[in-house]
Amino acid sequence: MTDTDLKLARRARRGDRQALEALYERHRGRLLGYCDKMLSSRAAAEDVFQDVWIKVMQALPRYRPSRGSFRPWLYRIAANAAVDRIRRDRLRSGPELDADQVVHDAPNPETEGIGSEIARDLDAALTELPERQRSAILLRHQLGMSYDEISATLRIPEGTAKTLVHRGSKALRDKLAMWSDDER
Amino acid sequence: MNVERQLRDGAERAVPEALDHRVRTALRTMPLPASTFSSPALALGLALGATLALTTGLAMAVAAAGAAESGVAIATTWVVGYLGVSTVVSLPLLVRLGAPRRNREVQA
Repeated sequence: MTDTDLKLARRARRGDRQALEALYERHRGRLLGYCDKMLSSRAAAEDVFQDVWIKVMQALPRYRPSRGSFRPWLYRIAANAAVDRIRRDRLRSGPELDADQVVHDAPNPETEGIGSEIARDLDAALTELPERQRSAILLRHQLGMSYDEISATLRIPEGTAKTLVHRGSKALRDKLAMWSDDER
Repeated sequence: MNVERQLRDGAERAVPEALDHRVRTALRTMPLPASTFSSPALALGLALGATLALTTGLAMAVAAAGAAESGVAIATTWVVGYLGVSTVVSLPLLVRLGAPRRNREVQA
């Protein structure tokens, strides 16, 4: 997967649009899933998703395959874009409507039905986490990144990445304790 | 409930058709920025190469115009001196040029 990404990224850097589209094809579903969980509204997630791909196009000449694989680079752009959007929304809405306190504005059709309540509570719990912790949790558990990759994505030491994931997971488990098998 | 499994299960989200169309159109039609130097080493190599070519040409012209023996000595001194000075000047500049580029990547 990484090798293919690197080959495609090298071709895309040279202006090969088919390679760029192939990268989009490979990462679009998971990237939108990440944006969706990072942001408090679907519309914001889709805006950021679109912005990320435009930024990828603009930043590709500066991407150095020798410095690391494509996925951490892509998600670094996504994480920064998502955090920028969260802060902008927070400034716009003011203290009375903090974006971090808002859960997804529309029901997610994929999670409707059995377990939809759990999914909504999980989304709400995620939005209460600090942005960096939320991002680390998603990179680890949603995308299955190694701590090394998380460290490269968020530009933090590996130890910090482990701490963020550990604390974030614990916070989520505490917030969702009512759904644990023992409680039910 | 297993939080990790719950997150993993919802990892992928189908991209709505309209959004997919907008992004693909942008990927196909937006102008791609020109690629910059692939590495500072390449930029340094090119700068030194250009300097060497220019200086050698100038020194040869001086040598051809002046007396043969002193002309060669002047040319040699010129090439060595100019290469040394340009390396000392261009190295810190290239390092400084690399730093904002790395910052831009983070901001992007």
